[in-house]
Amino acid sequence: MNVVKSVFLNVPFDPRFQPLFVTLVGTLVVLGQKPRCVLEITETGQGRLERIFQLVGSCEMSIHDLSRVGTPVRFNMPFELGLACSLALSNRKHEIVVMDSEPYRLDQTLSDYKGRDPLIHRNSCDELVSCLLDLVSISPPLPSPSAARSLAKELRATARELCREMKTPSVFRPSLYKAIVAAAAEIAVSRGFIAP
Amino acid sequence: MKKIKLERASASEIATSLGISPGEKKKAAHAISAVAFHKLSRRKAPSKSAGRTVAKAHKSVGA
Repeated sequence: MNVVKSVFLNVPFDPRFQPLFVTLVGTLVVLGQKPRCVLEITETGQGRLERIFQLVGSCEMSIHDLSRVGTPVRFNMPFELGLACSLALSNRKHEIVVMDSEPYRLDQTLSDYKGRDPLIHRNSCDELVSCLLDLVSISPPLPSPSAARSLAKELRATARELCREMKTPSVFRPSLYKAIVAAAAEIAVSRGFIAP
Repeated sequence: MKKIKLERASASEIATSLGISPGEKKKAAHAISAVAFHKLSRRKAPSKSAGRTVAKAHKSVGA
C-alpha cells in the first residue's frame, strides 16, 4: 500500500505557470503532502544533478508537467521525468504522474510513455484541483473540490501579496517557495484539513 | 486510472521536511492577514437607505 507523503514537483518555471504552480502546492498541502522541488536546491555549484536525483529519490511520488512545448525548448521537465522513471523502474516505490494541458498531445511528444493517462489541466487552476482529487484516495475523506479550490484561490492571492512584499514578479524563488508552502499549511490548518 | 493512496502529514511535519524557518512562517502569516484585510476593505459599505431600512426594522421589533 502506497502512502505517499513527499511529492516532487517538476514544472516549468515561467510566468504563465505561476497560478498553476501555487494551486498545485496548495492542493498537495490540503492533502497533507509535502511538496518538494528544485527551488530547494542551490542554483549553482557542483553536484546539482546528484542533489536533484537525491531529492527525487527521497520522494514517494513525482508530478511532471509537460505542457510547455515549442520554443524556447525546455529540456528540464522531460529530463527530470527520465530521472524519476529510472527510480520507478529500479525500485518500484516511486509513483509518477504526468500532466499536460491538451489531451492526446503526449502520445505524439512522448510516445514512449503511451498507454498511461496524463492529467489534463487545460491551463486551468480549477481543472488542476479536480485532476488531483480524482487521482488520490485518502482517509479521512478528501476535501470537497469547492473547498480545495477555495483554499487554492486564497493561496494564489497570498502568493501575489508575498511577491508584492518581496518586490519580485516571480514565485519561483527559494525563500518565496518556502513562504508559500508555509502559507498553504497555515490556511489548511485553519480550515481543518490537516493537523497543526 | 488507479487511485494513489495517501496519508496526511501534519503542518509541522511539512515545515520540518522543507526546512521552513520561523521567519518564513511569519512572512506567510503576514501575507495571509494582508489578503484578509484587503478582502474586508474591498467590501462595500452599506448605503444610507440600507441603514434606514435596518433602523426601521429594529424599531418595528422594539430592538
